[in-house]
Amino acid sequence: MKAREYDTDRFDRMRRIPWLDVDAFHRARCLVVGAGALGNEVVKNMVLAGFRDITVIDMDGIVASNLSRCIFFRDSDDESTPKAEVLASRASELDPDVRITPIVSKVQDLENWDCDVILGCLDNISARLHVNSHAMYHKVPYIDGATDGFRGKVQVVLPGGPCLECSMNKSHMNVMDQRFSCTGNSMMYVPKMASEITTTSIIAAIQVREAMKIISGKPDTCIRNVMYYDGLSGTMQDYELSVGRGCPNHEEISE
Amino acid sequence: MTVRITVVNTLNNSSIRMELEPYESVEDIVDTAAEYWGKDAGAYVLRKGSKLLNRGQTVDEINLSEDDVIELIPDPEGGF
Repeated sequence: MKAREYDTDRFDRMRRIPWLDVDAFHRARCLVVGAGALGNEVVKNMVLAGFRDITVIDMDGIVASNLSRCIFFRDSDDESTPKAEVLASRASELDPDVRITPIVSKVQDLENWDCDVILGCLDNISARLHVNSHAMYHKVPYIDGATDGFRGKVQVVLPGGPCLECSMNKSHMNVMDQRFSCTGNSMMYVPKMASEITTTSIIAAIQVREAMKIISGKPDTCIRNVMYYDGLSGTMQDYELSVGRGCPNHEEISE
Repeated sequence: MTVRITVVNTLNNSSIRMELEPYESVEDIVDTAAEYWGKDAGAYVLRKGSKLLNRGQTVDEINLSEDDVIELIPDPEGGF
């Protein structure tokens, strides 16, 4: 053993957590849907934690209002610069061994769902339901994050367990209807929602922490099933959810 | 049997009393509460204790009894 060998391994301190399987992180194929505020924080945490095979999908370009929450975006970036490409390029600088594949596209156009975990960093219910249904169909764990100002939530969807759609009701459908009715065509209107970096960081960190548990073979320790965070009171609470009767993603179970 | 419960809006801590029949559903409660607090109130979920309630569950199925308190929690949508 060389003197101070423990300081030459990038992941030495993580390896001191006995159950944390850093080698499994290296091998895991991860899909991050959304390269905005949550997407930046999620990818940053994943690369630092040792995830080396990450695909990021996002169709948007960078605008100045992203800069207060996105660690990888710069003033010199503009709307012609795809978020996914910039995020992939700059996050790769954190670790030369990471491979981040950007896809500049709507998630609805994504065809390859072959991965070990999906992290949802989206801003609308419609896209969430799309990812949720594919995750359920392909039996891939899905960790969805969401924020609204100082509030946020993380939902962990494990194959066969209750999913995002199980937790939704008519109020979610009403919100979706409003989004589509605003434009009068197939395009969706997504209103600008309140957002700030501290809540974004917390929610993204919890998403990646749950991915670390899953990839380390400890899904039983995951949030069960939804965690709500309130930054004003500094509280978080887990709530159980059961499989929804008539949920289309659980038809075999419901019948 | 009809039960009277309290629904608390955790966003502003206001509450309403609601009278429910055993066959009425979580969806009915969400609808009524959303109507009371404004149609543009966004997406909500309901919780009773440590459980989130599914939209299809009825008052009977979730064992709501007189003077129970359930909470309406705003469901965040953002992330960009």
